[in-house]
Amino acid sequence: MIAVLMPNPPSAESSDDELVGRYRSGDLDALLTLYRRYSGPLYLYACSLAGASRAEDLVQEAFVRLMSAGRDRLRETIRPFLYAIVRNLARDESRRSSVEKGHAPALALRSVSTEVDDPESRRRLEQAVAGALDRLPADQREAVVLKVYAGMTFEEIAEVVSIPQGTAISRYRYAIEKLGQLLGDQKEVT
Amino acid sequence: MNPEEVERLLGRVEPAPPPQPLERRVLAAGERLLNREPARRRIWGMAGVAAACLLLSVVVGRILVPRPGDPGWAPCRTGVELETHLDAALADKPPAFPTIGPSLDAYAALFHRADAVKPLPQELGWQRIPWVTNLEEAQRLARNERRPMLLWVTSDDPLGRCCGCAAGLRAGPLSREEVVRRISTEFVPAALDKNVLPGDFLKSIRGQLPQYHGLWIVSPDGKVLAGIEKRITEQSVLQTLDAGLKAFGPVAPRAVEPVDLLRGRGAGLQRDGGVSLAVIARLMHKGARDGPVAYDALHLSAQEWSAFAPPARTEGTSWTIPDGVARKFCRILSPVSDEDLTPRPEHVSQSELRATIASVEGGAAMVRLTGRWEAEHSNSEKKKVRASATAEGLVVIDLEKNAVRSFLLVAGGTYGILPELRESGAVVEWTANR
Repeated sequence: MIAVLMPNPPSAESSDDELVGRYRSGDLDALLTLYRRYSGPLYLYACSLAGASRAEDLVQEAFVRLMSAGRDRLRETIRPFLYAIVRNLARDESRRSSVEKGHAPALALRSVSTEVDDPESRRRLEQAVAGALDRLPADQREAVVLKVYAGMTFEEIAEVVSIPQGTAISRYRYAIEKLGQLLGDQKEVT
Repeated sequence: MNPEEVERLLGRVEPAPPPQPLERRVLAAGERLLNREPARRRIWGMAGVAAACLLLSVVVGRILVPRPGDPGWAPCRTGVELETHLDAALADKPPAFPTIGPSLDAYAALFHRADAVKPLPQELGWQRIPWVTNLEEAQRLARNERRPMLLWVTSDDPLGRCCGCAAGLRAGPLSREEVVRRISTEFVPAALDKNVLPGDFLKSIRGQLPQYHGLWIVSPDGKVLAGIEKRITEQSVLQTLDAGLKAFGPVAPRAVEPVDLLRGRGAGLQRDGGVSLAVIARLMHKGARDGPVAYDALHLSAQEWSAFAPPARTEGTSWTIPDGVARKFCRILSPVSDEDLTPRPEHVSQSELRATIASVEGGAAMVRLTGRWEAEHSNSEKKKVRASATAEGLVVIDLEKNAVRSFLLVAGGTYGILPELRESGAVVEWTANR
């Protein structure tokens, strides 16, 4: 009986819209669920744009804007909204400050492989991939992060980055080609 | 390492979790937001500020920006010639070189390179739509035929260099068979440059349906029935057409032959003895098409055109095309459609175009062209655009008439907004036969 009267707790399956609605009704757990759903790749994306020192602020601000956005602004899905906010904030900051311009920030990655078990091999794999991503041009690194780690479609990437879909596809393709060259000598870690 | 291996390797790492304090910070910020005063008051405050800003920008814009009818007003593209011509029927064939006289077998590789850049037939469907390019004419036809207009409004010339999204629209949704059929038989289609539209009309349709550009379906008396600006696909265009017709009511099928709006470009002499060479360019990837076509034209006066006439008629005769003429070919450097991203002759840092008579046979001289160009300029957003290309070509000279029969130049190079440079390709074509 109690279970019937209590509101359903947010679950991993709850939709984004449902979670935002619950949060607006005062359910802070809904925000926590949303945060855990998106924060990992979003933080990586923020690191790739602005470096680790600024990434936390960007992610926090993105969630604040998501929570305070009017319903009309949330007609689109939430994921592109969050990434677009992070991107715009990072771009605004880079315009104001030239200090980090052109700097390729180190990306925080961890191995998920079950084939490589020993910590040293895992560390080498993580460093190799992060190092190669760091050496990509910013536009191409952005395409890879959004495609591979945020799991976006090229249509969503085009929307977030405000470029034609064909450009998103070719940036990703160029990036993969270049990564192939950069990682060519890393075959031993694969 | 091949692309599949790279993607597999990338999939073996994942984003590390963000620092734990970030989660606490986000939750604390979320809690603070929940406790703040009702959002409604804040929204009304922001709306008030936005309205004030809008009013101010309108007043300031009206004062600072001249409009049609104001003293000092002039169209943005004064002096820039941007028409082009490509005959859809010839799209998948080599250029219209003479079929009698010299053998062209030796130039097969050149034709092959040109074919790799030129549009495929499926990219040219938009040219089969019976566009009118004049708003008044479209309104007159719509009133007479009692059917809605489909207005394709672009931020530049819809038939030539225009923004990238319009170029994508030309090669994509507007060239799909069903879209071509529906637009041609149900609507009065008008391709319009927003810079030459009457300001009041643009304001009226934007007031009814806020779009910067894109497709509007408008009744003969100016009522907007439907429209689309973003995420334009074949499906969404067809849905927009359905919505427009649903709002307007049934119309009788229309059968209007398209007028070749691009005629005269890439073929024949102009009245002044000059020529309009058809230019097409596009982004490439490893020698294959990698973006929509940028249509353009290169106008040479009779005097400039005569620079391609050989000083002697013997094999091996070589001469340099004057720098002023060579520079004009810089338009081949830009594979994107946007005029703002296309270099002009004053942006060229290096240019060279040389001609050599490779052979004389059958009353014709086969002239080999070789050229190279480099250019750099800043666009309106102060971004540096750099481009370079080398080119080879063939000019067939009719020695009896002392006239050029046909002209082909194929270019390849790199182009981009720094630091990203991409592969580019371009073809310049002209034939004496209209």
